Amino acid sequence: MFAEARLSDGSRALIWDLLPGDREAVREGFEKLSEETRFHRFLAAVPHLTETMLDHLVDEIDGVDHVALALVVVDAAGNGVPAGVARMIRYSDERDAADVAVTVIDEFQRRGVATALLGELMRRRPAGVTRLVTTVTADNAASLAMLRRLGPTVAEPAGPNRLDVVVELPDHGPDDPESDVVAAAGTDPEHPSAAGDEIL
Amino acid sequence: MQPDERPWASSYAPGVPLDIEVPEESLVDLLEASAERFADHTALDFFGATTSYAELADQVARAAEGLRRLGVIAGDRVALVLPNCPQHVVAFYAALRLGAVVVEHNPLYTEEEMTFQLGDHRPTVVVAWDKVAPMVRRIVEPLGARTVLAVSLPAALPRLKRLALRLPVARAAATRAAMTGPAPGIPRWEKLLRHPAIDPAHPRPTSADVALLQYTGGTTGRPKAAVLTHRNLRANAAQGRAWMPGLVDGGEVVYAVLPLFHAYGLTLCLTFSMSIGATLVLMPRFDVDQVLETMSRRPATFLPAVPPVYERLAVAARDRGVALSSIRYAISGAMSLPPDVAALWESVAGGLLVEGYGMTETSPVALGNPAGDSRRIGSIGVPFPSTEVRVVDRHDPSQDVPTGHEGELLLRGPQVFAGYWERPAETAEVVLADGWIRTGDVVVMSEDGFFTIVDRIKELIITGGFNVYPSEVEHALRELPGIVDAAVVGLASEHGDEEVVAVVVLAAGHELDEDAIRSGCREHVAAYKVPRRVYAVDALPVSMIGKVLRRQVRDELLARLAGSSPAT
Repeated sequence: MFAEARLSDGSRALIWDLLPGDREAVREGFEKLSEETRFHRFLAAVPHLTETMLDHLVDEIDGVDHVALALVVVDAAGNGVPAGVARMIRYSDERDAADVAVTVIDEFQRRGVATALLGELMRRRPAGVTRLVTTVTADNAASLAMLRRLGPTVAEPAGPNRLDVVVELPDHGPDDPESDVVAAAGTDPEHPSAAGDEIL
Repeated sequence: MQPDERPWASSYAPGVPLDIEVPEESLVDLLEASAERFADHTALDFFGATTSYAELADQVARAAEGLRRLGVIAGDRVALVLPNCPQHVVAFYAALRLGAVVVEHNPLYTEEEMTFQLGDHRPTVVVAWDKVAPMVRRIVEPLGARTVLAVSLPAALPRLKRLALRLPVARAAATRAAMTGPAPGIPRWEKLLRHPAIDPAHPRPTSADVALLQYTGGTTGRPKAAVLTHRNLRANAAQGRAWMPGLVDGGEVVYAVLPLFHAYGLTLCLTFSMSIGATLVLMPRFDVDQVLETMSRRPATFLPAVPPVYERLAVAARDRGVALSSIRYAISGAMSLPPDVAALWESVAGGLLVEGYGMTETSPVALGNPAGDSRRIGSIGVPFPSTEVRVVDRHDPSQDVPTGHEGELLLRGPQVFAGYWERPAETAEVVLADGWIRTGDVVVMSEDGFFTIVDRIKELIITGGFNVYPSEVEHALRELPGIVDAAVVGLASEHGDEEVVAVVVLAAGHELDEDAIRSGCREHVAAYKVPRRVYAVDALPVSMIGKVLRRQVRDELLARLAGSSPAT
């Protein structure tokens, strides 16, 4: 079960569900991230993923309230190279709200990976989620721009270099092809995402 | 901005122009002009050993020739890893004379910190304090640096003091150990001065050339170097001169207690002081006893420093009955000036203590309180001459906010840098179109043009005038055995300063050992970055997606310290 995507440089990519068996791949992928990318993902200097973090990021995916997707770029020889991960987790106390994160390995950034992942994530989002509620670094303008393209957005300062962001998602359901707002905005190679690939 | 759009104009001290003409000359021209004008005047005083302006210019010319023979050419980086000493001044100007780029480093950085910075700019030559020269050589040899030169502080002392250091008594041995260390096999800086003076026809730098790379912290933990031109630095020295019309060229005595490797100390002491023909009294570190002792020998007239220095000095001078009245100008920067410190200083010294504001990226001074009765305690002052300001929406720098509203301070002027060394992405975050730069400080401008900082956008802890980025410390903590997770926050400490405080999650079976954590941390980062306090928690507050919520860390810690939450 996977979706196909075309990145802004024309290369082919496949997106599929992250599974418990991907624990080592997630660990290894994290080691390839630059310090800046790690920082934007966790809002802290995290040198390595701990076992506790991996438990949460891999084992606790249930495909219902916690959806996670991986994107693999298909190279000329037909081999798949992991490039990024996107996830959405529904808040237990606010069933219509979810947090979101997208991480792209540095060498694949600015090729539309995040946009493709986010588009698929919007389609696969937990049923009933109408708002994204997240925190980003205030200097991460590209991520903020990417969130803004998902829907009406409010950003409030949340301490030094932090913004609390709320995005109202379009009204239609996740299975509606018309809800593909992100894909429409960014995966067409003729119109690559202005936001590029940044980290939420 | 037109003069009528500058509401602060009426607050300028008498004689201060709204705009200055930036001298289109290099820093080399600046020093040579002073050497010509004040040839016999004392330029440097190091524990009583003096160097005249003519001697200083001669040493610079010889050292420049020595560096040239070592292969230094225009554009090369010459790293200085030095405390305040006469050799620091000579090396700075000698490298500039060749058109080379000076890169300043804190000599107390750890090997890890130094390795990153030296690897980042790849110097041709490093001039290093002999105590750290062996470490520096270990770092730069694989990078292809041609030479490390070792500087001995005792070599610059007066002869008698130098001999006293050799006395077989414990105090002499301890002082000597603090000042110098063995650097076997590393050529000595002093040898460079045996060369003839550089050919006056050797190409000189222009005002547009890069003079300095000055490292400043980064949000993600890795520092980046601000690129400053001769013109940037020359402009800031000229702006400072214009700010204080009462200064007497050739008649001031400036105490260099601020480190010259810091943007603030560098401009106030290395360029501004030299431009006015002042006598620069160099102190390798701030020592109250040494400052008070020197006041009786060569009284200061100008003291740039940080609030903790003023406070300690004022208290000691008051207790010991030492007069500070010769200090007509005391300029406080690098951190906010608490009103009680200003009041204490002014009651003891008699002269004004005024606060300025700046950042490495602005050479550094951009705003200052008028050096007169219109100065305003609690405010960072008004823009320097020829410095443009805007206050904008913190999320949209294209939108100016009305006077009296909070917004991010933007700056533009001849002292404003052009970008970071080899970091186009980070440059783009700070440098906007038309030369405006974002300061990351949220301010309010009053109707009469005084600015007050009300918030900080940057993740930054300012402690003792030094900037500490939490990520860098967190990174060091997370690498320590027994620590699973860590968050670092700044908590207000006495007199407007901040304290670096860590909250850690310990691995199962580990007990909190603050001393072990601090000493482990000290191996990775400089002492001023090491957390003063460490607290253990079961888990850090993280968002559902795993992001560390540093504000919540801080709030929970404050609640715990206030006793409203049980300690873990």
